[in-house]
Amino acid sequence: MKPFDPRLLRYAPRARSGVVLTVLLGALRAVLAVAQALLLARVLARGFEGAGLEELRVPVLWVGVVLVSRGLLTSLQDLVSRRTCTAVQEQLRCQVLARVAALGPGWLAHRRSGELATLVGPGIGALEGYFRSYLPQLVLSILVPTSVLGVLTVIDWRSAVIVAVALPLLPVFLALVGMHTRRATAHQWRELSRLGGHFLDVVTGLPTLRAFGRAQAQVDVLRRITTRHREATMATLRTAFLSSLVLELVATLAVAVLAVSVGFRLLAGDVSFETALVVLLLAPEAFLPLRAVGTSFHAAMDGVSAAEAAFDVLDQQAPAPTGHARVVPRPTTATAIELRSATVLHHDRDVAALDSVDLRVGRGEHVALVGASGSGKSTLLGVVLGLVPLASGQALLDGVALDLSDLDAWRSRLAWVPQAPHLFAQSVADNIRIGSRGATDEQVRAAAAAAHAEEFVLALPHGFDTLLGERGTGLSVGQVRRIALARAFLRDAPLLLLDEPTAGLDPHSEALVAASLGRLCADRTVLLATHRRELLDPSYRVVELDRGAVRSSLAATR
Amino acid sequence: MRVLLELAKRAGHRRALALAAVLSALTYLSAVALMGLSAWLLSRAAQHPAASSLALAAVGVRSLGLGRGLARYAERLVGHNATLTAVAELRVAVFQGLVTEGGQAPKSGDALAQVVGDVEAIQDLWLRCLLPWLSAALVSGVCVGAVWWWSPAAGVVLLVGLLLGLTVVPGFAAVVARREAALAAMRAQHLERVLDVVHGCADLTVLGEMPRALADAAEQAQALATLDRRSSVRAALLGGLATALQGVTILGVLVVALPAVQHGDLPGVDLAVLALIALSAFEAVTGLAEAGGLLPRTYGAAVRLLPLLRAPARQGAVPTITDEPPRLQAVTLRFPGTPRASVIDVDLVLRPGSCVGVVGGSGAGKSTLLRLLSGQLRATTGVAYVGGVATSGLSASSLSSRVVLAEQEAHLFETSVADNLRLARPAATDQELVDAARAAGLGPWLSSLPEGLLTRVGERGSRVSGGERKRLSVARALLSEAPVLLLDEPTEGLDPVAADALLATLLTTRGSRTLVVVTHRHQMLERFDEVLVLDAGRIVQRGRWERPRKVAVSRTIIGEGHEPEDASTAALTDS
Repeated sequence: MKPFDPRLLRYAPRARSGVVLTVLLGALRAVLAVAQALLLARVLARGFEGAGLEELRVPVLWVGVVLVSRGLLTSLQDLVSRRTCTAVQEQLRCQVLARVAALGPGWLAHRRSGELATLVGPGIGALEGYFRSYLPQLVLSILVPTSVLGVLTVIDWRSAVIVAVALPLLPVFLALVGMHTRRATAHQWRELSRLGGHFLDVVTGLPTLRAFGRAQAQVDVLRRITTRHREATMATLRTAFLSSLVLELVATLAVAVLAVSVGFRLLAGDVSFETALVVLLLAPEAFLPLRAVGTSFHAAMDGVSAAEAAFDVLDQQAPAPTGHARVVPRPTTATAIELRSATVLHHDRDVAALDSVDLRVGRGEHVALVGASGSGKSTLLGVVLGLVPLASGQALLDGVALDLSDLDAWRSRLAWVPQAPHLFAQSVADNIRIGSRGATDEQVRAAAAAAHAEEFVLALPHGFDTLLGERGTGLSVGQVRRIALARAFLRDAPLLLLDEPTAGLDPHSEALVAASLGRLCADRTVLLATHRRELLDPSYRVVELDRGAVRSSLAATR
Repeated sequence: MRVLLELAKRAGHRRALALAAVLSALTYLSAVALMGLSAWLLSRAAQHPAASSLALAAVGVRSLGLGRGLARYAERLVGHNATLTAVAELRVAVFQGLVTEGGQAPKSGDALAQVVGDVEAIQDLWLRCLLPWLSAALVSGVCVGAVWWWSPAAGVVLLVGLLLGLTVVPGFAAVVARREAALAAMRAQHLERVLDVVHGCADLTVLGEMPRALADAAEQAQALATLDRRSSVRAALLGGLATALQGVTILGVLVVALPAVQHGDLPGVDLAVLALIALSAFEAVTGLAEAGGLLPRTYGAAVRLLPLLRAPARQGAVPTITDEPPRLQAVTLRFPGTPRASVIDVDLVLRPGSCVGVVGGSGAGKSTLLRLLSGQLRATTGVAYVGGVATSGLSASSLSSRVVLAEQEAHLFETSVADNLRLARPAATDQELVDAARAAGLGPWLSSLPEGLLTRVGERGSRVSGGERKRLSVARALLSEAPVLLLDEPTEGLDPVAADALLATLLTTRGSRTLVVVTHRHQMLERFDEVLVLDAGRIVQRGRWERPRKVAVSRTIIGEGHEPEDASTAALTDS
């Protein structure tokens, strides 16, 4: 892991100005740190000799100006860091999102969407530690000690030698202690997180404990476990705090040694009082940023690794659009969908998910794909939706080859009810409106009523305005399916693709979904995937898939 | 503030926390002393006295160099130990409060998780708010006292500066943090929208909504950035506040002290000492920005937790309960904030040893009815009895000795399968556990586990599928010694064959116990003694179940469906 990835500047151009400003501000802060020491030493040394305020007015004023400016610069640095951080985070998020959209659901299907969500959310969020504390401290930890050493070399080289010897000791000792403690603490942390999670476990499980009358008994268990947690934590901390002990010791001892040595040389008349004061004031400044950069390192590295993961997504090439002249498929042919020897390979295996499948769906025809799970029903639907690329063979939509046709125009004429429709963090009405933005409230309600969704929606706390999604109201599987059906009703498209519309529903919901599906499918071309062929209406032509191949095709019995 | 004080009063180990504050102050003070003594050493050396007069100061400076590191190490250990002890006590006290209170204590999983988060936040209150502030106050007091000793005027200047630092810095930080919290809520909302694009990628792509969703997210990001820019100025000002305050104070000290030296009121040797003490005293104050920033969160947590800690233990004699089965008398329950009651005017007596099926559409009140029977929910009006006593007067343990409810969402603890099952009967033998698991249909699963009964189930039971979790909950209910078992949809998520098999096993293994089961498996209902049909919170039909008559629904694609309400009400004969 590098402390700075050059891809950051490429993908987040806003980082560039932020980094440049941070370096400039860091340089300014280093100059001010030195100036403060020089000015304060001048004032104190002259005051010691009896010079009054009148005489020292200018340097005293400058001391004030420098000190307040240091405060302002700290604020300014914080401002720059904050703005850079939010801008970079936003740029990365938007780019990752756009790239995910460009790579499409087909690409996403091979990833755990939870992982990507973590990356986009808390992962990129962790960059805060990098920009707000680590980066500025890193700059300071290089610039301040070097300027202090520079000044000391000029005014009192012996002190410069002491500082130059002590400074590298900090990282060396830190690394030594770190190496010693890492092994000791690694397995302790695992035990710690287990014990630490116990409280959450028993508290969230309290209703269950209460149901079996075991709640009171758990109080003693809790007491025992929290005590063990404390003891284990303290054992870990005793070693973990050693590194800061070493840092403090080296830094303060170096200052003490410096003060005593320069004091005795002052006594001997080798240095002036003012120079001695400069040494005393400057020495702690040299050690401060190094100590701070150590403490912010670990938090910052979380952000860096998240950023690297984001860069890896951004480095993915989106599939270039094939075919220059996009043909808009028009419903002029008698065949709505046609697959010719369509073959799809599994993402990571050399096995075909679809093995040269031939299929024709006529206009107005109802076709049911049946077969066990994994037989390729959903993959076939994915091909028709333009989500899953073909390895070989051809897919024709309204007589136009898929790779030549304008997918957006094609998709605008179809409605899709997936197996697990996503509910967006919007109102119920807006969720139904997805795919048909211009619909009026009346149309939304009518669609909901047609999908047997109106009744349960109106029972929600705010009816159609109820917020759904992770932080909103939760709905049952059957209710989600009915929202998706309402979407399809509202979209009113001539072609309907359905993936297991009644799977996992209780008989009550199943009957409701089936009833509304009957209405929805009338007068439309339907391609439906299901594993329950015994429940199909006789109007369906049944195509049976087995391990990616068509096993049989039965004409409609009616 | 009163809330925080009350919480502080409740904490044991206040002495240890005070010791940690003193040690922390010593850490800062040894740095102050190091700079002050060094300044004196240099000033004295500048007067070129005999070397021996500096020897003691030199030794002092060197030992202070050691002292800071050691004091800091001790402070961190003592502080963390005291805080962890206090938090451990708080955890136990809060849990005890949750256990005994019952009535107002949060019930839902989310609310309970919030309690856990609140307790963690209180940890910050001790370690990162109170300790630093106490230590900064101590350091300020000692430094002002020392400077006052040499020059009262400079002492006053330093006092004003440090007092401002002790109040304004954390106060301003608290204000900033509160504003930031509002912004954080907006950020969370934005993140939700962003995650919607990831999770709903396929839906958006196919429905042609992707460009719009991306534009929406970008627009929201813009709006957020504008707000962010405004708030970041305020937050950034906080960062430099302590340093600026330090600068102004030093300026004040110089303005007061320089004339004093010139006029001979203050020995020249002490000038640098004063200035350096004043300069380094501010180190303790700089850290208070973080302390203040944590205040709003910890305060909110304290406000939420205190009622739990104040909860008195349940008073009064334990009522004696009889063998009488659960009974509802004119019970109505309405959850606050919902438009209509979930259960309306229900009268129900469970006959001992009977098995009762409960059916009805989603939202009909089936789960609520079961939770009323088990005493987990209190009726809004009417009375629920268990063992002849109103459930409101019964403790959780006496309730659970009579009636056990296997809920839809059973909690699995992060421990072994055996421990999770033994919850229902601590004295159960391994064989009894295995038998119960087999009866619940977990036989094949149990034998597939690497360590059998001793296998740990992972974080929040995540190594267990939904179906297995449900069956474990059924196994628990079977293990318990309560004479009444209430099972909420034990067959949901199981395929029809497995569901019917599970119900059949339940009917035979229950022995003489009373059994109430919410289920959709109409085929099995014939074997129940009685079936209750719920609709919109009322029992609309009860009696024995007969095969539902077939209702033809025209043109359903998944043919031969039946309108369930219609079918189920028609299927009952009054008893």
